[in-house]
Formats: sequence, C-alpha cells, structure tokens
Amino acid sequence: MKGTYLGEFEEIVLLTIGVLQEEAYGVAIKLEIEKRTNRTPSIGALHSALSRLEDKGFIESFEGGATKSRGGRRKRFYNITAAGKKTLIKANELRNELFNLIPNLSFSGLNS
Amino acid sequence: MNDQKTSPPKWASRLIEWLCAEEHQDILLGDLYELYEIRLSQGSRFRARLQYIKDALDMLRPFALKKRKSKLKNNRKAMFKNYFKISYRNMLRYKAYAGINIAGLSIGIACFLLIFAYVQDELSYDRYHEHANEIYRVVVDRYNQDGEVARVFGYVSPMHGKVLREDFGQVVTSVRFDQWNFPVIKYEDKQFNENFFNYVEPTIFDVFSFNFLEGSSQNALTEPNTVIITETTSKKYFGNESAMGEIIKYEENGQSRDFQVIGVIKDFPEHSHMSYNFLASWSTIDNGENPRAFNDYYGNYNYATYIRIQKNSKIGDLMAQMPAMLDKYIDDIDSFVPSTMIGLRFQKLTDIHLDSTAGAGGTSNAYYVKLFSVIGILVLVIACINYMNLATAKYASRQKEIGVRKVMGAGRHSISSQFLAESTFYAVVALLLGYGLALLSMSFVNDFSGKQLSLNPLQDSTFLMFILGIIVFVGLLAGSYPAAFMAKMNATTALRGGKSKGGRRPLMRTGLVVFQFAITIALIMGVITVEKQIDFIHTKDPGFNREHLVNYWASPNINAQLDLVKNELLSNPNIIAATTSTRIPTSRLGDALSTKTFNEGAGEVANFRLPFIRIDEDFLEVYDIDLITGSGFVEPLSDSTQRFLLNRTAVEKLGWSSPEEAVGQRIEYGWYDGFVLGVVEDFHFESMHSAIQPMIMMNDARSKRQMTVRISGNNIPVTISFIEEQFKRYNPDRNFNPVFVDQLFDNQYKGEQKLSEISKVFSLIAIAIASMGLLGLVSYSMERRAKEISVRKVLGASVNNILIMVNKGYALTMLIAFLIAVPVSYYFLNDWLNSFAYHIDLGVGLFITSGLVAATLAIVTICSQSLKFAMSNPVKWLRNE
Repeated sequence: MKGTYLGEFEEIVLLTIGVLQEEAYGVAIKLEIEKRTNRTPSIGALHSALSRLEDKGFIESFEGGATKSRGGRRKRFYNITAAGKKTLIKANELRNELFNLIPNLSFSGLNS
Repeated sequence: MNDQKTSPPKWASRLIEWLCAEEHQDILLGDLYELYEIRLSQGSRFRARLQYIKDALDMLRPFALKKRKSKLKNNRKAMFKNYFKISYRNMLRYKAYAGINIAGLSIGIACFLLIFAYVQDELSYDRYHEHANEIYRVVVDRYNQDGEVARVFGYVSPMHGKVLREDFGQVVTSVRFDQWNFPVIKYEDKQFNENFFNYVEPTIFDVFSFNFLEGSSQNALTEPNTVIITETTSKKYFGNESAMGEIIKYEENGQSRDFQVIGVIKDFPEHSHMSYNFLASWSTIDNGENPRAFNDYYGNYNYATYIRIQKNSKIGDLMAQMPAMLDKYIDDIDSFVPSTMIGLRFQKLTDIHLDSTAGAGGTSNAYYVKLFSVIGILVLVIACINYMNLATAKYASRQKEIGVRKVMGAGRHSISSQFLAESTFYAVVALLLGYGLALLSMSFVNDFSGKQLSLNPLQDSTFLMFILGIIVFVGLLAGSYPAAFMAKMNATTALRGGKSKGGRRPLMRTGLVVFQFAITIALIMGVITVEKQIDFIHTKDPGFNREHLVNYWASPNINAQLDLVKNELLSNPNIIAATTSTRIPTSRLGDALSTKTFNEGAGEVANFRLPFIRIDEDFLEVYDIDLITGSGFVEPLSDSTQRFLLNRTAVEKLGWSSPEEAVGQRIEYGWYDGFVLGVVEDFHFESMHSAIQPMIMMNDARSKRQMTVRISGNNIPVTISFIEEQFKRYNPDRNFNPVFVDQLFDNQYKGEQKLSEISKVFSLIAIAIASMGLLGLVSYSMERRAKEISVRKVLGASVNNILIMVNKGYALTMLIAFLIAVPVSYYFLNDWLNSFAYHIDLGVGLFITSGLVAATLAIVTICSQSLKFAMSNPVKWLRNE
C-alpha cells in the first residue's frame, strides 16, 4: 500500500488545489504555483504528483467536458478529499508546534 | 480545427498517444495543448514547439505509461511450455518453411561462429607477456617533401633504443634486436642453416616474458658469446641431452664464433609476432671493437627495438617529445631539419600482429579482422531477416490460432512472447545445427588461414557466453518483427480470416527485402571488383619479365667467383642468362643514400629519397628491363668513380627534362661519385600497392648475393638440379633453396588472393541465404494470390502475363535496393582499391553487371515459384469457395 507521507511539492500542490477550488485542473494548478511560488514545475512533474496524491487518497478527480481552447480535449478537475484536508491540517499544526518551540526566534534575524 | 502552422508537433502528440495509458491521454494532451497556446501567445512559435516537445517527453513518467502487466501471473510456465509445443508442431507441419528458416539461420550462425573464432584468434596475439599493455615497438616514419609519411620502417637506428631508455623517465627500459644473421650453426656432427638468430640486449627479460626450461633470466645474456635457445632448437642439436653449458659454433661470411648455451626457453607461442630460435648476447657484437657500427641516430634502420613504459605514463606524451629528441642528437639530414625528415612513433605490442607493417600500406591483418567481422554480422542479419520475412508472410496460417488466443484473453504481450519464444526456439535449433556445421567446416578454415582454431565452449568461457549471446540476439532480432506484427492483429479479423491491413505488403517487410537485396547486390559488386583488380595486377605489365626466373642466395664471396660461376651456368643450353644483385624485383627498396646533382656546376642535394640496389652487368638482360637510352652494361669500376643507371621516375624527379639529357650527368650518391650511364623504363620493383619509386642502380666491388638465372621453359626440373649441383660445388655446407620469381610476384598479392577467395565463399553463402528467403517469400505470397491468378487466367491472361505481373511487383524493390547498394559499395570498394597505387576504376559497367546478375538471380527465384501457379489449372484454386 502507498504510504500517507506528504512530500513538500505534494503539499504545495494540495494547497493550490484548495486555493483554486472548482477551477483546479492541470494547467491552472501549474500557473497558480508559478504565480505564488518562484518555481516552474514541469507539467509532467505536476501530473506525476497529482497521480501520487490521488493514489494516497488525498484528492479525487472528475472529468469535465471538452473545451475548444484545448484542441477538443477534456479537463480533469481535482478536489481535496476529507483525508487530504486532515493531512493538511495535521501538517500545518505540526509545523506551528515546532515553530513555536524554537526559543528566541527573532523575525528580523530571519530576514537578514 | 486549427491550421497546420499553429498546431504543435504531431509526432510528439503521437508519442504520447502511443505510450501513455488511454485514460490519461486526453487529459495530458489537453494540458500540453493549452500550455502550448499560452506560450504561442507569449513568445516565438519555435520556442513554443520546443517546449511542447520537452514537456511531452517529460510526460512519459511511470504513472502515465501503459501498464503491460498481465493479470494472470501463475500460468507463465504453462504458457511457455505451450508456446514451445506449438512451435514444434508448426515446425513439423510446415516442413519446407521450417527447413528454409533453419537452414538459413544455421548457415548464418555457422559463418558467424567461424568468423568469431578467427577474429578472436587474430586479436589474441602477443597478450601473453606480463607487461603486454606497456610494451611498444619503435617505428621510424620517413617524410617526403610535403611532410607526408613516405616510408615506414619497423626497424630503427641502433641509438634510438639506447636514447629512449637513458633520456626518458617514462621508459622503464628498452631492448634492441639484431636479427639479420643467417649463419650456419654447428654442433659436433650436426649443422643447419639458421634464419632466426638474434643478438639481443639483456633488458629483453625486463620487457618480455619467457618461460625458462633450463637456466634463468638472472644475469642472462650479459656475457659475450652466450646464447639462449628454444626448446625445439635444443632438441634439434642436443636431442634429449641437456643443452646447458654446451658450445655451438657459429659461421657466417667466413667468420666464426663460439657460443655457450646458458639457457633453454619454451618456444615462442604461436600467438606471437616474433619467433626466434637463438637469443645471443648483444655484448658479443657491441664490444667496443667497432664503435661506429652502433652510433647512428638515423639511417641504418636494422634494429627491431621495443620499449616498456611506466604503468601510468601516456605514450602520447612520450611521442610528442620525439621531434625534439631527434633534433637534439642529429645535426641535420642532408641539410634539412631532422624532425622534418623523420619521425619516431610507438606501436602497441598488441597491435603489431594486426598491422605488421606499422601502417606502411598493403593489406594488414586488421583489415581482414574488420572485414570478416562485418561479413559475419551481415550474414547473420540476412538470416534473421529471412526469418522475419517468412514468419510474417506465413501469418495467414497462424491467424486462426491468434484469433482464438485473443478471444480466450491473451493480450498483445502474451502474443509477442509467444512469437519471441518461437524465434528463440528456432535460434536454439539453428545454433545446434550451425555449431555442427562450423565444426565440420573447421578443417577447411584451418587449412585456409593456417591457424589451429577450435570451437570448444567448455574450454573457453567467452565462447560460451558468446553462444548464449547469439541465441538471445537471433531470438530477439528475428522474432521482434513477427511478434509485433502478430500481436497487432485484431481478434475479429484474425478469426474471420481476412487480411490484417489493406492488401499491400507492409512497408516494414518491403524494407527488409530491400535491405537483403541491397546487401546481395553490394556483395556481388565486391566479388566482381576484387576479381577484376587481381586480374588487372596479373595481366598488367610490371616492366620486367617474371617468367622462368630462378632466384637463390649465392655464397657470400660470390663476387670473387662470379665469372666462373656464370660461365659454368651458361654451359647448360637451358640457361639463358644469370645475374647477381643485392635485391630483386618483387622485394622492397630498402636502402637509400643522399643524392647530389650538378646542373649548373654547384651541387644540389635532392630532397627526396632515392633508394639503390647493386646489380651486375647482366641484370637488365635477365630481367628483360627496357633500356631507354645510354648503356645498360654497368661494368664494375673502381669504388670512387661509379656508373649509375636510373629509372625514368628518378630522371623526372631529379629535374632533367628527358632521359637523353640525364645521360652523362654527374651524380654524387652517398660516398660514390660518378655519372649517369643509362636510363631504364620504369618497372614495378615493389608491389603495385605503392607507386613506382625513383631508383638508382650501380655495380661496385661489394658482394651481390641474390643470384637470378633465366632458364628456358624446357625441362625445368633438370635445369634446376643442374643449378643445384653447380651451387653445391662452391657451397657444400649450404642449403640450396631456389624460388621462382613469378611465385614471389604472386606472393606480393597473397593477401588479396585470400581476400578474393574468402569474399567469394561468404558472398555466395549470403546470396544463397537471401535467395532462399526470397524463395520462401514468393512461394507464400503466390499461395495467397492463387485465386487472383486463377481468375486472371480464366479471363485470358497468358503464363507470360502472369510471370511479368509477379516480377513487376518486385521490380521497384530491386531498383531501390540497387540505388542503395551502389553508393555504399562504391565507397568501400574505392577505399580498398586505393590501397593499390595501380588499380582499375569502378566503372558504370561494374554496377550494371552486378545489377543484372542480382536481377537475374531474383527473377529466376521468383519465376521458379510463380511458374507453378501460372501453369496450373485455374479450376484447382477456384473450385472451393
């Protein structure tokens, strides 16, 4: 069985899907990631991550209708599942917890 | 849809469609397309297309690819058993088809095995020395005025070996050989002429590895007058007694020396480029008595020299220092900078056997190794193509089977495995037969190559691996196309018994036939060209008459008795003339001195190499060489004033406008000063591989030991024994070994002769296999078209009409093959012909002839099969519908 570990890139993808809501499909996710972070993931890498996330049960997909702009090809939209939401929250909590445990954390220090 | 210009690269999309699982295709392609359109609106079309391709390739990740896993995992073994069983049954059922296939494959494999044995043997030379990879032979290149290598010497000046080990840290040590000794060796009552007597330096044991039977390499060969002999030599002189400490007597040119045997080594292995019987100590000759004999840094190229370099040093670095070394030790060569005249080069020990001339031209063993490897692979590939063609052509008979298998749930994957298993099965059967065939023909190959090749898989693990490799190679190569072809078949069409795709022969199969035809035509061209070139050499006038000439080594002091000997010989009416010379035509022009001509009073040094031979006054008559002008009768004069004969090329090169002008001109040649007595027409002193060189001939008091006798064609054996008798009178101790000059002449082209024979054999085999394949192919396509032909006959087509129609189908294939074969074979044959300075030209005639031969072959093959159908009663095929 696939593990339920959430990789760094996977987490970004998962979050982006959450951000995009109904509009989360391949190219849109890619463009959103490019816009928000400074990275340009290849479409292949993105689909690979999406397929992994789906295997782990964090997202589910459904196919939309064909659109003209895509040469008559269908889109596949993604939704975060309950398990995905839970994992995201857990990851976030874990991070915050650890973050708060760092003594004397100075924000000016982080930026310099 | 979108117009062509703005659409992304089609092939990339097709790649995705081909490789990616169906459920992903649409989504992925859609995303790619969308990205492409975004990029198109932002930047150049080229970049967008490039990105598209990049993304498409990037898309081929495991998640997206088609899953080829079979759902059933536990029936593999049973299925394979079934595949082999079906293969076996099919083999028995279609005996002719299986016969052609297996015959082709096994002949191909037999050729391949034999060639493998030969090539492996050729590559194994000189590797037995412990330091084989660090040993190099020193070679001298002589440059011409354009800086090109004009001459290569595998023997070098005596100082080269010494300087190399003394001046260069990378060189561990070097060893020099003086091998030009042809003594009579005596021990008690035994005496033999010996050819392989060498003086070598004691460093030989640091360079090469020897197995001592008696004595050891410790301090060996440091003392003068000591010798190490081989096992066979020891047996020859001492029988089963120990040779250690015995004294043998060495006699040559009236000199005599005693040598003490200090060791016995095993004979040189067969796989060695060297073979010596006596290794005598270098200090015997280099003893300070004659210091000038060993102090040359150029010229005197008589010493085989080998160096061993440090393990981690690069030979290229050492080679780069050679010009500076030469310039340092040599003041000038005929007033030219030494490094512009000669160069030192190092040839790897393990390469020497493959190129014994060190790149001096001619056909090297390396050439054969390459050629035979290519031929071996070609023959095997042709056989594999046969298999592919026949297996796919026969698909009709397997259609139902595949249909049923598919209906029962077999996927593409299992159908391909079935046909790969089948081809592997054929490969195994063919290998067994081919191996037997190779063993049977081994004795012919050994006769031909003069080797002792063996094919024993138990002895040689590489060979065993190789055999397994062949099975895999043949199985996969031959099976790949049928497997793909059969697996693609649609279950319903297969069951219905229809044609799989259209009515035409698939492109792939046509391609294979083209390839086979092309190889066949190219081989025919090769055979014709080699044959013609050899014929050309044999019939081209070499400028001298090589018939009825007997040549042998006269006694060392022949000059003193020359007139007497000649008179005695000429007393026999069957002996027409006799002459002595230092070298004879068909050998090489080795020695050269510097040349000075005096056109305007002042001397001018010639900037090219003008080699010489010494002859006597009857040389031109015996060899039937044409004199252009002047006199050819070079009587011996005092050593100081010489009379020279030049050939036409020498006159041209020395800058005289005509042979007539050259006569009487003064020439200073080395230490000789004299004038041109006459000019002879050019003749091929060396083989026709090299262009005729300028040469100079003279007659001084020195001995010329090559005796050539022109005899009449009557009663040759009696004449020879007469010469022998006469020879024995003066040389009771020496062996009489006469050779015929026309044989020496032919020996120059032995390599080509061999090439011709072997290329003929292999070409015939390749052509035979290809024809068998065509035969099978035509016979199957005829069977499929039997109804069509019958209908045509009913409608009034004649037998001729039908034959023409069938042949027409193959005409285009033949034409394409011909067009492919012509440039390819032109390239290779031209390359080969250029190894001769004198060669035939590749004319249109050759290509047309080869084309016609191939076409005839094909038409005969095709007709032999189609005639049966063309002549048969149409009712036979139309009755059952």
